[in-house]
Amino acid sequence: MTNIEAECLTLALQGNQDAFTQIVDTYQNPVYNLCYRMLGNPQAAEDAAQETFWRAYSNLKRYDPERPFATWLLSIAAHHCIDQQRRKRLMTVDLDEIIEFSAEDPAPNPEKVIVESEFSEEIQRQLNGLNENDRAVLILRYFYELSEEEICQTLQISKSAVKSRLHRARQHMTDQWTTSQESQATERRQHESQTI
Amino acid sequence: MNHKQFESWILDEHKLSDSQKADLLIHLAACPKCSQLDTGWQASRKLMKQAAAKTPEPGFSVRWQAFAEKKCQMKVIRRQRVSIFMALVVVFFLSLTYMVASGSFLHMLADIFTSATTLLFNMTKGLSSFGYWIGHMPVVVPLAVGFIFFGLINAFILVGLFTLWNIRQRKLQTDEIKTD
Repeated sequence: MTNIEAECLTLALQGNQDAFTQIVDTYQNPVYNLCYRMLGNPQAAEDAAQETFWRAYSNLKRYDPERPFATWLLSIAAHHCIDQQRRKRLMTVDLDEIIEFSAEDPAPNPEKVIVESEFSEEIQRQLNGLNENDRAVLILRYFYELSEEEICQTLQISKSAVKSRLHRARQHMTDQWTTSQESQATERRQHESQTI
Repeated sequence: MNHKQFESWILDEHKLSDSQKADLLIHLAACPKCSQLDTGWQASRKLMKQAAAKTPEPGFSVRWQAFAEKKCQMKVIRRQRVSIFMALVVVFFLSLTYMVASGSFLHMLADIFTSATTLLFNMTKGLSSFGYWIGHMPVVVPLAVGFIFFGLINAFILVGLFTLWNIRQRKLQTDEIKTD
């Protein structure tokens, strides 16, 4: 954490909301990205990210300065998203929302962005199939490059739980990849046979 | 070597010694299942690395400020409601304590019971005389009275339901305006 951030935190602790807005500005991308990867929907990610910052602001007194601030924020975001996913599972799925999500976010012009966006959508499809606990662990490990120890602290679970969740998540991602490759190969074969 | 062991080496990202690496390579060349697992996991990992980080729409912090304002207002309203409720509870218990201690509580209970009994008695008496007069009239009159009576009850229920629905609609509209 930089000196400016530490200063902003001190001011925010005294109830200065503008100072905390600086913190929001600094950490909006990692928090939003985590929420997006967890929830798979831009609107839900925006709401979850806003709620994360609000919870952080309201509970700033509980923040332990010994811990990295980013990890603390990600911990709040991950817990909130896990709760959201659990609630969502209890509700009926709105089909319109799914269709909207699949068609959403057309990538802007440059080729690189298109390719990255394709990777992004492909990985999101794979992540969506994971349960919320395994997904959180996998995202923290590979999108945020946290160590197993840091994940334990962030999600407040044991190291063995982190290991087993990671194992399950990797297995799932591999299965998803294999299935998508197989379906692509079938499509290709069908296309070739049609052209012949 | 155990097949599970190789699976664990692939998926759990163990730090392998040189001999273990060699064993794994030999196994991957011979076992299509493990080879597929290894390829699949490496590809997924690559995908995760290459996937672009998602960023919020511009103006996130401004939206957060508005969100925080709204939350602060809600907090104040909730606090006010809790204070009013607590004050009412305190007043109620204080009154109750006073009434029990002064003995007026038992008097009040007795008065309520007497009034309720008198009211019930008068209502029964009134209804029986009403029934007596209705019984002596042509059949059309009691039927008409019955229709009017049930009609009024249904009308009251419908008005009540419409009012509730209207209040809900107004609340939803207000919420929409607030979010806009």
